[in-house]
Amino acid sequence: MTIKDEFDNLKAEASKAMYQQSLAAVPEMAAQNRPFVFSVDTQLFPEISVAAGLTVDSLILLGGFGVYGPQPQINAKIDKVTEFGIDSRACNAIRMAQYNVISGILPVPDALILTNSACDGMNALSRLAETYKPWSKVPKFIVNTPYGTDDEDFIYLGGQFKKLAAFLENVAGKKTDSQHLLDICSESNKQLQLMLELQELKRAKPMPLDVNMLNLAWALKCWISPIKPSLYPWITGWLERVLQAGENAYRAGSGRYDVNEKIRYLWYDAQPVWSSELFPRLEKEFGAVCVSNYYATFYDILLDLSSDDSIFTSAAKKYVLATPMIRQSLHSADLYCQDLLNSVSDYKCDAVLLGHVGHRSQNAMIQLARETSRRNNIPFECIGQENFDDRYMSPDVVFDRIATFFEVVGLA
Amino acid sequence: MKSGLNSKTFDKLSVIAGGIMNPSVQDWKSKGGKVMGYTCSFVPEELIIAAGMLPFRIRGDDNANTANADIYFSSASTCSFVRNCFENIVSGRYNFLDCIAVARTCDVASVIADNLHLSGSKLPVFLLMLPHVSGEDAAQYYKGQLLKFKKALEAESGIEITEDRLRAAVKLCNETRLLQQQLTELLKLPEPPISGSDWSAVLIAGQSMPKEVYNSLLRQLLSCYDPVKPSSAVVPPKRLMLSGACGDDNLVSKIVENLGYVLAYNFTCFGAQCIAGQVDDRGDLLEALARYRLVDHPYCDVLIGSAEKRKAAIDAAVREYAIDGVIGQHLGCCDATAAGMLILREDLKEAGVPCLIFKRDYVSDCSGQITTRIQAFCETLTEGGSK
Repeated sequence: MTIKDEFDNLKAEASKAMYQQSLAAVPEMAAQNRPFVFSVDTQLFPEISVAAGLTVDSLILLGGFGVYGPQPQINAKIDKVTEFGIDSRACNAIRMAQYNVISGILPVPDALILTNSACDGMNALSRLAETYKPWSKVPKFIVNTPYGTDDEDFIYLGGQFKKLAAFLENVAGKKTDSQHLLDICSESNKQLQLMLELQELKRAKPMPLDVNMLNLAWALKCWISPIKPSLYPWITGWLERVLQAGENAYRAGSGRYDVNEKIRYLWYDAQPVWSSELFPRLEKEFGAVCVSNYYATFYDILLDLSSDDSIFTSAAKKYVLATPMIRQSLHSADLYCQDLLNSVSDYKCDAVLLGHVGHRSQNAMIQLARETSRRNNIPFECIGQENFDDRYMSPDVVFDRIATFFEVVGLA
Repeated sequence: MKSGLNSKTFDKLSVIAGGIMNPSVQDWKSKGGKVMGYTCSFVPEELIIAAGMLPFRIRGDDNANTANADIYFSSASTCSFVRNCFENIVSGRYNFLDCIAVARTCDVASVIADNLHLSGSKLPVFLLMLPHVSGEDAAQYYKGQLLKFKKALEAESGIEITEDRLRAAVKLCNETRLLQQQLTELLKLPEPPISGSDWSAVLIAGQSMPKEVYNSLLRQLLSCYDPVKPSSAVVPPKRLMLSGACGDDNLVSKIVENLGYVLAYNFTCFGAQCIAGQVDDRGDLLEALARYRLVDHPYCDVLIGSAEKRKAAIDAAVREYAIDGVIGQHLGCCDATAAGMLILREDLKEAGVPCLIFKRDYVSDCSGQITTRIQAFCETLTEGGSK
């Protein structure tokens, strides 16, 4: 089997697991997997629900990414959201998730987990889920994610995770075996180690694998496993195979099989759902390769299994400092700018691109990011795209802007 | 100003509310006093007062030009209220401030300090982390944050915030709230002696001057109250409530009043939300300050878990102030109030109270469009008959 075949197969397997979680499949999934839980963010110590064998689906991901299908279908949904009266200028992932909740298209869950993170939009989504009248009797657990990153913040959040564990035991109707939770945490650490190793391949020039493989790694571990706890061992195996394939590609030394790499850029943002209309074209016309993005960046914060308290506190630290979007939205501008510099340096990026118009924090820090890049001689372009609605700024327009940018800064 | 209250006193308060720098602040500064600006009603004025400083709530104004702020905050996606406030700071209109306290109210406000420093400002800025969840646990966490804030204030002012100083400040602010509540009671009258927009001006003045002076003026204002006999010749005008974003610019109040209706209740964070109840001045004061905002009166649109208390407060106001319809406004890039307005719409629908919800921009002139919408809304109230 060629390296290309290996990657294609792995992508197909992951995509199959992902596609099964489309919005249309949720009612059936809920019916077959009671108790069924909706969470605004499934990254709130997901190992607890996995160990309890509960099905926990993400309201936000169903909104933003669970609309599998052609782009016109996503655009039509966005229009429907507006017609419904959700007329804010929030990120469309948030707006679609809000619509999913208050339009009544989702099944009534057995429990709800709400939180204020990663952003004001998620906070707003939580408030809508909290007050949605058909869900008024659904048991709810609200996590207050702190905006600070001191030890006391992690202890505070860890304490809430302990209460969340007890809440989920009530939902499941049985006590979670503590050894099983330890095993799942241990497996989770193993998965993260594999992802960290996989991430190291981003340092290689030329890039040996498609950044979408890293996106898929995140999606499987962080989104799919809470929905299908039974897939946990399979996900570990999948990560091992991707790492192996990546290492094979690295050893072959020729970089990605389908790109003649000339430019390496950091997409310092979440990847647009329509990126398949943009990234391959940048690869083809400029040899421009996306090396990393928010969801393809993993942080070395493992669960500390040395004591009961340390598990919960480290889970809190991991949630606050190592979860995509939370790290970039919730914390200080210093961390945001330092991460930008680290990524550019570690992954040898020639330029930084960003600009999802729905990302409030990022848009409030835009001058800080620009100035940080300027002081470090890093070509920087803020695009201003909408990551879900390709009519706001079409992939063609985005391509033209990037093409002009590459030319102006001498990269093309 | 309507008849029935001391107009000279009101004029003094109106001048203070009308501009950013005001005679009262000038007087304070001339005596060597320090002024701390703050961005949100979650920042307890009591602590700033106990540190010997004058708390001054940072607000926007009618300056539609946010060119400087737009360099730092992308105008396509960040709240126009924050940008307007930021513009006023970087353009020098808040030069009288010695330091600023920014509450972590929203994603955009949280970056004010970093952007100020990037702009070259040397103003010390404190970031107060606040929970976005209401309840006892969150209040305990918030108490810890208030303790950090207290220490920062002591370092900045050089004054130790003793128990006695803080208790005195709490009592002072409780007196302010009590007087403001008495003033608000007047809005229950069929023909209130004060208009909704003048009431707002009085509240804004209270966030822009020393509390002792303000309380004295407020007492004078109330002492001269002379009930006006309801006119029997006219049908009482429809009475409206305002809810949602900001509320410091009086745009909606004035439109409502120019159309001949009564703005009988302003449930915004510059209005009735921040004057409700009293802070318990008997026990642990930091805990009392935290509980006041997160347990007793959790009305801010950013708080998850506060829906029932917020709904109860709105229901009570609708009843007690004989509200015929509610106007809810949200700013285009404020996710919290946008969701808050969706929730409000559903709650009011269930209660059978007519409402008008609209999105607006803080800095651009949208008064024509809003006037048309409010006029049309009020006509539907009239067609539906009196409540």
